[in-house]
Amino acid sequence: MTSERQKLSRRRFVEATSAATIFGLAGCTGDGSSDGGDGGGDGGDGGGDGGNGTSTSGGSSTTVTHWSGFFDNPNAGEWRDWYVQEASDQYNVEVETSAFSYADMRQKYLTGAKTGTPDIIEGVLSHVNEYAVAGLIEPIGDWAESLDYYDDFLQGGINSVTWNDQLWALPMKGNGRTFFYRTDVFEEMGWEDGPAEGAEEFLEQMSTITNSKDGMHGYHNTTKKGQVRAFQEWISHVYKHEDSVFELNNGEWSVTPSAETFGEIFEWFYAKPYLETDAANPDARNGDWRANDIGYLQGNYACVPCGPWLLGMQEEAQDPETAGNNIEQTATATISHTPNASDPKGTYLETEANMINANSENPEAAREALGIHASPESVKMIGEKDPSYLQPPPFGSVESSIEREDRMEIKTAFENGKGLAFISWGQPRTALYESIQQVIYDEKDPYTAGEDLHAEFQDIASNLEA
Amino acid sequence: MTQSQTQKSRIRLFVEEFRSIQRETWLGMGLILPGVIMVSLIVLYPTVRGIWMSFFEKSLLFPQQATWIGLEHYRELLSDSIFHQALWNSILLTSVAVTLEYLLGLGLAIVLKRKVPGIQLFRSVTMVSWVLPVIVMVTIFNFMIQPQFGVVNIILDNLGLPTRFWFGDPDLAMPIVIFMHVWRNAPFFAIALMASMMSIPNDLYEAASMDGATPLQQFRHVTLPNIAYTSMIMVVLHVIYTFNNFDIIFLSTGGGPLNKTEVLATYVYKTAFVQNMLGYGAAIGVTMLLIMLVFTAVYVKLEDTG
Repeated sequence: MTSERQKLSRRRFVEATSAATIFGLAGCTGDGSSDGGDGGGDGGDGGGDGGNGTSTSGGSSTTVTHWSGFFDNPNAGEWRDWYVQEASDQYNVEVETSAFSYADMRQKYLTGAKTGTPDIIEGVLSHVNEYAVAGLIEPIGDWAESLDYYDDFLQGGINSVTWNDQLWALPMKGNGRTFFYRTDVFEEMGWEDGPAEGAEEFLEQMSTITNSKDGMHGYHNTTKKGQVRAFQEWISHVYKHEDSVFELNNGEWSVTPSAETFGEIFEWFYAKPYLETDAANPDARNGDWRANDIGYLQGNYACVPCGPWLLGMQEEAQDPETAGNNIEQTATATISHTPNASDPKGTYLETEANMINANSENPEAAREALGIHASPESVKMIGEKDPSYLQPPPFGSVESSIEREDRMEIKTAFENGKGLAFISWGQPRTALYESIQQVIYDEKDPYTAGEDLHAEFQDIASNLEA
Repeated sequence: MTQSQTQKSRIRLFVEEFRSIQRETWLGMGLILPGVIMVSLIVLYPTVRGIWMSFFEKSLLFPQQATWIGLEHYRELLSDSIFHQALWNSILLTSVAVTLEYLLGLGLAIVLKRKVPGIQLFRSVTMVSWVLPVIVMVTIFNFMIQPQFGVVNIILDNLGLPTRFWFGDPDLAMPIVIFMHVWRNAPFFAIALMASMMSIPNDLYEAASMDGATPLQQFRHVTLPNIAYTSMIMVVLHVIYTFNNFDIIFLSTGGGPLNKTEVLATYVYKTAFVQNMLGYGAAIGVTMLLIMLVFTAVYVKLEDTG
């Protein structure tokens, strides 16, 4: 009997435990489902605080989250600590920083921004465009104009993150694409002025280098399928013809360049270098950006399209000493243009900028933190650790770290750089990668590829919302 | 006892049995319920959601807006040439890579089973390729085959053989991807098969030997049947792993050149997260799911029959 009672008791204990587990789970699920309600309440509080602009006045601090691709950089520690401390001291805002790669951040943000996290996010230009189109970031023009340093921003950077007369982000870093070339090689060939501006003469130079220098090809560009860099290099050529690829007119999107222009670019910078001349190495097709940049630093190429980060990549090369010597011998020049280019100086401007989540529960605190993060003082500080922030800096008052005369094209490219239309670039980029590969592997002639790409772009444009 | 009495007694017995089972099992059911709920949330819900999503036109940028289009995505897949190529590449990669992994793993397992000096160290070293993170492995391969400064090309060049960026060669990119899979996974096959071989009682080999079986016959009639279940599990797991593998190809070739290495896993990613076409990406994902379900069911059935 006693035993029976004990057995019963054990069973009841197990029953009670399992019931508790079930209720516990139900509780979790319940919380999940009612999260919107609770969150809404919290959000209401946060919004109230934000609306009143009292994040600085209360006794308790407001916490905001900030995602950036740079916070975990070994050089960024001091600067990050300064930023967090300043936000706390000036506005009583506690900034929680997290670092992710851009691709990772983009995916996380597109799927989770509605939760309100992060409050501030960094991204490249195409991310600013996508987030703005998706309504995931808030316009910050009115607030930004009240910043005491707003007028110090270089116009190119501001233009790149402006759409529909609204400012969507604060630029922190930017670079226009240029040619990086080996001065020693060019001088040896008797071309003191560097790469020729016209594509025909340029390809002749590149072929001459390939045929004269053992183990070196004149030119290389990124052609790997799916690499954003390949798109950026291609669009730098397009910007020598037009100011945009897609344009919004009377509420409808259209493709600005002609199919002929696309064909011409494919011919001069993809077909001829790899298939018809000795300018580039056909065995290096489908190479990624590392193959391009490291290949240049190792001395495999005399001229590549790139951005100023190349000058800071010495330690990433297999042979840092060779890379260091080659960096020393590096100058910059405007990217060559096809025969019918109307704006030979035009190029792609990449911008790294910070945005405010449209669903942030603490938008006011997020703006306050961003005001510190994107300030000239902040850029100056990080620029001391990573000179690419100052090549050139996005502010007129901050001194550029570009000192050499033969590298001033980096600055010019920033001033002449053109941003991207505010659309989602995923589909156009995918279509472009296919076309580039078909041209460099001789599966399609450049002008047919140009026509096909133009038709695909038109199709994409017709489905874009105004 | 009349027939109707027997019938009643049987029914009473059944009812009593049923009540007894109910009494005894509800507690068990209660205990597994949390697990069932968790699995439903973690596995079933996303799967059902993915299948459901494939019937909608839906963008990653506007996930709250969805238009019902029924089987339209599946109809589009029929005429999508990249999908066809990716499907073929996935099947090719999976079948060739897993076959080679199994055969090499089997051979390696026989070697690793030997009790010779230093075998413990050799067993540990064998696993290096499997424990290496994929990103590290691909980066190493990528550098090794760079046109001018990669060690493979330097050696080939010194031997007077042609050099190139092998990932950029339309004819060689897929064989190299297969090689990377085999290089990575064959040791895992080896260790699993070796463990299985070690558990075979020696008596069986002794008996076979006494019956005059040659080493090859012993391998065929003793070893292979005894490692059949481990083999089945390893093959099924690796077929699923290879068929769904994304990172090796995405990091090495990006699906190029000319889509020669595009597989369904990379195509799903690009469709859903680069082109933002969630519904279409889900349809490709559902197709992958169906292929894997059919494969697993058929393979397990064949193994059982065998």
